[in-house]
Amino acid sequence: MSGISSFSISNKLVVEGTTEATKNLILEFLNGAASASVIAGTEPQEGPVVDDPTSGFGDQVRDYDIGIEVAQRIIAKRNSLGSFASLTQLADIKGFGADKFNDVLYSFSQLVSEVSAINFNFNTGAITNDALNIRRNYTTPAPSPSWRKGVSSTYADSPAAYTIKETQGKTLAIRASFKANGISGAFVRAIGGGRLGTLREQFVSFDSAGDSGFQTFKIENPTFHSYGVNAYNIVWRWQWRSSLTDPWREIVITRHRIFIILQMPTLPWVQTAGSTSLPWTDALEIACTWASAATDRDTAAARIAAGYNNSGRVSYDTVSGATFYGWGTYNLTEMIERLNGGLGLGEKVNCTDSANTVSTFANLVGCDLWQSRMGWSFRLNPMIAIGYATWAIPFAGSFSYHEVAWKGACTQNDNVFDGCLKVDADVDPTTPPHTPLLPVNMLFGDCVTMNYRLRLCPPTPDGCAVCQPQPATTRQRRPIN
Amino acid sequence: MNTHYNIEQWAAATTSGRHVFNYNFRMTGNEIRGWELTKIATMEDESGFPEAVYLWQKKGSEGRELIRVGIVETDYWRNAQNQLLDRLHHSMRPAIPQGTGKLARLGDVCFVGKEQDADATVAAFFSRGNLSIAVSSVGEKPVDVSVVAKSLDKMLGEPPASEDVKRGLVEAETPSMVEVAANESVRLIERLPEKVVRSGWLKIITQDGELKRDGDVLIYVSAEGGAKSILRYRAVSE
Repeated sequence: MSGISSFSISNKLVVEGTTEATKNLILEFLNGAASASVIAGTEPQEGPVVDDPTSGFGDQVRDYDIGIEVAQRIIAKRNSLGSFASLTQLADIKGFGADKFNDVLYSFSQLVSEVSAINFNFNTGAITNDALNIRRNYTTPAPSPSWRKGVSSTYADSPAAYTIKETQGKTLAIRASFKANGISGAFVRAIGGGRLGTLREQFVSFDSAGDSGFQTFKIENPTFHSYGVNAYNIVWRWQWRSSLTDPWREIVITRHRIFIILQMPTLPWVQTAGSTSLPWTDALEIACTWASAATDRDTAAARIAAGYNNSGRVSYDTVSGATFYGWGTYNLTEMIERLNGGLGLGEKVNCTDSANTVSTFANLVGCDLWQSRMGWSFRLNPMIAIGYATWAIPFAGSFSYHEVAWKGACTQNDNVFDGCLKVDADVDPTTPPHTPLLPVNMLFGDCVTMNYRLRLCPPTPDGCAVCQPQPATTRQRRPIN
Repeated sequence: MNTHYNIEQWAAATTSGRHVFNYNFRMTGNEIRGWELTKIATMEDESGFPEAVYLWQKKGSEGRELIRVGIVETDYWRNAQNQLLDRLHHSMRPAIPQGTGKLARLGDVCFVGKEQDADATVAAFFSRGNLSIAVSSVGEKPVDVSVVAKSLDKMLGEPPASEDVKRGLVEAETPSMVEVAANESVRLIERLPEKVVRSGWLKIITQDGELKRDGDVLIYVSAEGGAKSILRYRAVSE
């Protein structure tokens, strides 16, 4: 079978009154198709080209429109031309006759042609029904809207973050905008979405220019609340139909990176629009990986301390115990680079760097930790410093101070999460043998009962007795940059 | 907190640092031969004097040999020593020892850290004039930083090498003479130039007394009146 002639194409376009918008949509589709399979398809849902039920051959249900072989010929002709500049260039393609050209016109003359933008965070003043205010990192804001046609392609291009606590039992929604051609309204939905859920079908109206403006879609049956802290790549498959009885037609597939945290982040993180301390997606990638599947704050903080301690990217400064990533502000940007395999500010860290890291990442997923010190100048038990595998007592036996991520008021009655070192877990930490234990969610304690304090320091006047919590002067959450 | 450090003793021992003032010093990448300046970062601290951090990587070491140079520019040599004390207080090692031997004369006051069972100096903390400086080995492989620290100290504390002046890297103004009354503040520079990210480094050395910045004004006070020589150098090229 030979293809439709150039004359017939021109004639058909005139007779049908085909608009420039329709012609452009067809050209955009054919020129943008990465492969023949993008063009080919079988009804009722697969493939962007559908059979015109009012003309042509076949039973009109799961009918044959453009097959893979014809699609391959279309691609071949396009490639030989560089690209299609006019629909008449579809002439003389074997197997592409009047019926199939009619199907193409039909498919593109009345349709929802694009998802223009998706906004997960449409209410910057609340986090109960939509996503958090976020940014990429210190210097770069997150994309807004999160997804945009022609801009977003990878999962990471379209990030969003939700809290479990604040959204539990609430109706979640997103907002999306669309373009249509030749129709004033359509039903739209998105299926897929993984643990975030699908988007409930709803009617969308279009203005004379084919724009919908932002429309609110309810997220149906989100299940992420049951799985704790996480980071998901989700896919939404957007579909439309003219009436409730029509088969669904495809619009586009969109990809998104969804971070799930326990509850509203605590300082240094804020939700103030425009702040550089909005949750950073660069930090969420690390925090949500370390704290993956944690469903409560203590577990999340413990996993973050362990993730940091086991990262293999930093090691203790056994020479000076100096602070390298900041004691006025915490240079989280450089620490993230270091943890991601870059140089950062070098591999050396001390307890202040470690307390900053553990508390800042933990608070990002909704924990409530502080950086606070104990001191001063106290003797030590053997320990394994971060980045090392052997037991040792640093600095000829003592610390001038030590700093940890600490809960509550940071007193001896509060628990610590120390990512900087491992203590001896057995009944006598002062002598071998030693059993390594990362002190997470461990009571700081006194000099009588075996808790963090007695595992860190010997029970002597120059050890445990002078290793006292110093919250009055040191409890803080350092700003980040 | 307890302190092992006696800042008043440091001050008493400070001589030349009182009358050296560096303004807007920036490392530009040529300072350490065989090393590559890979990063410049800024660290804020409570004092309001930010620390410029320069991360140097030994060429070919693939990140295993790193030197971190941190420089805090303050407005006064005493504040540089306060900042040095603050830095030591944020180190977990009690009583970091003062430099001895070849490092005894590093800076106005200096403290050093050495690798256990080795003689290599892998950390040097010192002040010179209004600057507080930390040079540390921060890579996987320890690096002796003493040569770098000494070279930096010389660069900041002394007149530039005549070769640098001849090559046009540094502009040495003709020494000016300023008549001062004893213990009277003299406004040496009324308006320091705007800080620039690179270059724009100004170094002033007086023969005695002390230098202090008050806003944009550089002030000189000498205990003895008379005609005083003022040396002024400006980096004009990277």
